[in-house]
Amino acid sequence: MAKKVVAVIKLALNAGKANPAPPVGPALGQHGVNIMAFCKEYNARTQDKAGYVIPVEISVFEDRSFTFITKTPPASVLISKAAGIERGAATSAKGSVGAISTAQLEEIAKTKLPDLNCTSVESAMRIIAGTARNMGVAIND
Amino acid sequence: MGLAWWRLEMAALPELEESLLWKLNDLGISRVAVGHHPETPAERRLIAWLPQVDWPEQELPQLERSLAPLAATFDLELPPIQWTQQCDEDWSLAWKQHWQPDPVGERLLILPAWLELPPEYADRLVIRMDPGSAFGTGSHPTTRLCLEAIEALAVARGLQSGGPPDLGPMRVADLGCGTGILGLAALLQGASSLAAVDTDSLAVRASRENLASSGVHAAVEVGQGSVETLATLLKGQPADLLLCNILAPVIEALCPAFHTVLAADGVGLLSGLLVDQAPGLQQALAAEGWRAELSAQQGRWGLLVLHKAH
Repeated sequence: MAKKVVAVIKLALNAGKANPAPPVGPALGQHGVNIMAFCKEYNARTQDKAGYVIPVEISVFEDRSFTFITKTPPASVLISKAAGIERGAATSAKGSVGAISTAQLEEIAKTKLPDLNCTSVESAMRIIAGTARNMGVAIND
Repeated sequence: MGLAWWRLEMAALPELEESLLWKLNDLGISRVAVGHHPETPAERRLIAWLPQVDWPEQELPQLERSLAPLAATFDLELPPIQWTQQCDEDWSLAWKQHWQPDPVGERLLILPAWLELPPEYADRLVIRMDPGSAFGTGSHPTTRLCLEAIEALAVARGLQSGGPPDLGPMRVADLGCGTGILGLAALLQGASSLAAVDTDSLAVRASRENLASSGVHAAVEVGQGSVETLATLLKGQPADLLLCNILAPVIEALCPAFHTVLAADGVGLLSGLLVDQAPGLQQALAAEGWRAELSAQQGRWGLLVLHKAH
């Protein structure tokens, strides 16, 4: 039965640890989604990835049923991994904590493209480059 | 129960979304959602929840100031932030307020499993449902079309026999049972047995739970699979009533095997199809020896009643 999607919600959750507290409870509860059913299914599907943040995109249908798919890691995680750092800069000091190459930038942009709010690799690269700069990670040619 | 959360909401501009997610997480704000209406995927909204115990009100302007440079990197202005306070509550129950007793047709009532039967519906047949995540909660037009058709069939058979509405002793098969709502409606109206299948394991589990808690004492078998599994559950004796509320292309793909699950003198109720898909599906069914009439519709959705062509 084809049903109309009434909302699409993306959450970044710790694998295997979804619970009804925010953001899950209020984000899904306002659409009448069975919160505990979502938590059980998300945790079952991600329990083998404990320790990682696994973003999830939930589609809510007009009869309040739902489906979800897991998504790519946040751009900041991919940038940190490529730069060999644990996290970005605490302040806005640009280029102060690490660097990635243009090739790494393009690879991250291609990985993230399906989940970014843009349609071309070039746009995705601009977004990833800006995110890296905000994190204090420089882009080396 | 006090106010416990600050709720931050702002536009998640395409360029800014990933930077905001990073910065918020870096500030210890991990309770974040990004959502959009399905028809406007580019207009995303970011919502974050901050425990008030960790974020005194006087620190909120500083938080906004720390986000502003993220936008400057893209030569943008930080979108306006809306702050609201949100009460803490038992979030695991928050969704249930959206579910209310739902009368269908003249005789049925879909009642969320956690609610008491309202006195004004005391004379209705009650379908208790705990929706889980499975399809078939009764609010979709195709489910309602099927429920109303099952009721109409019971009424017609009652009139024929000079008695009350009754499906007895029909044996029922449900192909793509979802929550089990259609089979349960048939059992409540006198059907003698039910065989139900779904390819989704979650639906099979939901059906079993809903049927088990319904209090209906009839022969019920639920299995995971498609039409072949259903034929097996029926033990070589095709049913008198076939319920099939799935997509039109799936119905078309499965209809060559309908003779294994629906008796030659039986009735089929087929839904999940758009009205403009009906002619093509009728043609496919005719090629397999079935006569299908479009008997009802709600909005763009239709219901076919199936008989053996003679």
